[in-house]
Order: sequence, then structure tokens, then C-alpha cells
Amino acid sequence: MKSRVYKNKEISYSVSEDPNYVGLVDVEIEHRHVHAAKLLDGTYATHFLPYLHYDSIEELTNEVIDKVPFYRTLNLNRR
Amino acid sequence: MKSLSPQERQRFVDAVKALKANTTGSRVADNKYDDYVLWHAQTMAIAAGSDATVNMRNLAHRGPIFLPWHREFLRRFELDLQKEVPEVVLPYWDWASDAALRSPDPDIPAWTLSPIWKEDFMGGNGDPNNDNIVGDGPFKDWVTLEVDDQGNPTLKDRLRRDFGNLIGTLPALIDVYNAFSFDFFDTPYWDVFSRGFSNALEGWINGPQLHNRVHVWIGGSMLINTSPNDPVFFLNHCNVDRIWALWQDLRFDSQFGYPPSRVLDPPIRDRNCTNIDHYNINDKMHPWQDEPDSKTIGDVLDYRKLGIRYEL
Repeated sequence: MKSRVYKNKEISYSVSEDPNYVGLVDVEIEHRHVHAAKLLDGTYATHFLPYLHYDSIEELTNEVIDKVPFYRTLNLNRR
Repeated sequence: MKSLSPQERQRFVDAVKALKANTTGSRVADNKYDDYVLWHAQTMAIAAGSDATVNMRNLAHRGPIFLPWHREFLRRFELDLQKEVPEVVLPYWDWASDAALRSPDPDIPAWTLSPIWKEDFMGGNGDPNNDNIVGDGPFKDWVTLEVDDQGNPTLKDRLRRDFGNLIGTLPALIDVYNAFSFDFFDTPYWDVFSRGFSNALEGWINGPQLHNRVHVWIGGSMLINTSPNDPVFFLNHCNVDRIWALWQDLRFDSQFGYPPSRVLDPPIRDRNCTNIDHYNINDKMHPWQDEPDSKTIGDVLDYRKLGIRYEL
């Protein structure tokens, strides 16, 4: 699993090294699951942001934190 | 909605607010309006077909179910509105018309010229200095229902809009014409990568287009899986349904464009040749399949039989 922090929230994810992989991608934000997948065209999608596809899992997870209230409000009080 | 009188606009606003205040007849949420928010978010989380992880197809979106499911969603919503305020009707928002608006003053955004965003109807954009929370109009104090990673209703939020931030323009009339160029509804493998009118109107072809683009242009609460939180959701989808109805009038066959289930035309199957449940013409739609008045997909294809009429 790779991990990084965006806006004080920990993001963990695992993406296959196989460039042709399609299917579910393991993603967690603050240890809460984010349902996401890599699609046939190489983009990423999540039903939390259902009207757009994203070029990278980093872009998708940042947008989830910025836009989805459940993830935006996780661990708000953590310093 | 441009032909609505001030009284008709007020009737719609009143009905929406009454539905939100109705806590006695709700089915899955705390009030009858939020039922629709949960139905949308939870149905969206159910994969459709054995290959659904590849394309994220679900029981309401990203496949041929999209248009029939939302027609049924709107039908139920309008009936519920009419229980609160008799004679109210669900109006459509012709966003392609608004895409053509031009402001005479570069400091005044063109969207301010549209009647939909006026103080007496949907209110305007969110306040960029207040986290894009909508601060005017009848829904300025609107409390939204949000779900957690399991689809459970876990927190409340405020109605947010962020016009044109992620994408600069609404879909235009030429984009609607482009969708009309498809004379078939959908094709195997019935996901976001297939060609056809359904995917064009949902917005996946050269997307985000049409329906998807409206969600993205409005942004805020309309960008996420709980998008029915914004009442404008229903005006967008009413226009989407109107465009489908127009296409059906131009192109329809005995199945009104939907893929049939016959011996020579087998049921809708995914890339793994697995039957996609709740997608075939005689399947009842989720989450209403166990209700006495539940509809099959085939039941909602002929909009006239449902009593739907659109003024041009």
C-alpha cells in the first residue's frame, strides 16, 4: 500500500503495476474504505463522484476529500 | 420552467419544502424528500453484472437502466409532491437554452440571466467566501443528508453550488443534436464504453456531456452521489427525460428503443456473458421491486402511458 497525506488526511491505496489492469482499487481515507476502480480506458472512478472519471488515483482521492462531506469531515479535529 | 407563472414556481417550491418537512410518511430516511437522496445514493452503490467492477455499472447509472430508472424516480417524486400540494407539476430546465445566454456585462455571469436561479425559485450560486454554501433563495437554509462509506445516512451538511468551476459551460443545443444522431439506444457491453443514445445522453461519450456535464457545471452538492439533495437535480433530470421522450418520438419501435429480451435477442449480458439482473425489459427496478406498485423497465418506456407530457 502507498500512503500520503492530503489536507491533513491520510490516504492509502494500492494500484497494480500492470498497466493493463482493470478492476477494483484498494483505497482508504483515514482508514475508511473508498469504493474505486480502474476502468478499461485507464481512468479511475468512484461512485462517490459519479459524474466524472479521473486520470490518476491521486486526483480522485484529493477530489473525494475536497468534495464528499463524509470524507471531508473525517478527523477534523486531528492536529 | 421558463413558462411557469410565479404562482406555479411558488407551488413547486412549497411542495418540495413540504416533502422535506413530512416526517410521517417517509420510507428509508427521516423525511420523504430525503428518501429520494438515499434511494439514489444506495442504488448507485450496487454493482450491476459480474463485470461491474471494471466499469462501475450500477443499478441506476452507467448502463441502459439510466433513463428508465430516473423516469420512475421522477414519476414517484412528482406523485409525492402532488400529495403535498395538489396540481403541482415537475418542470424541466432546458439547460441548452441557458448555455446560449450572453451577458452584456463581463462582470455579470450569464447564469444570472436565467429564471431558474432567481431568488424566488432555486436561488443562485454558492458563496465562494463561505465554502460555496448557497446563501440566497428558498433553499438557503436547506440541510442535506450525506452518507458514509457504507451508504448509511450519517451526517447533515449544507446545500453547496460552485457554478462553472470544474467545467466552464453547460451543454449546448449542438450537443443534444449529437446525441440524437444515434438511432439505437445502447449496445453491448452495456456500460460507459458502449455507443448509443443512452450513453450519449447520460454524458459518457466525449464526456462529461449533457446530463453529467450539468451535474459537474453546478458542482457542490450536485457533484456527488447524494446529488438529489439539490432540488435542481429533479429539473435537470426532467429535461433529460424530455430529451429521451423526444428521441423516442423520432426513433421508437415496439420496445421504445430499449433492448428487447427475446429468443433471437437474448437478455442483456455483460462482458462475462452473465445476465445483468434489474436491467432487462421485464425486470422490476431497484429499490422498489417488492412494492405493490413497482414497475418493470418495460412499464416506463412509453412516457404517454405514464401520463407524462412535455411542453415544447
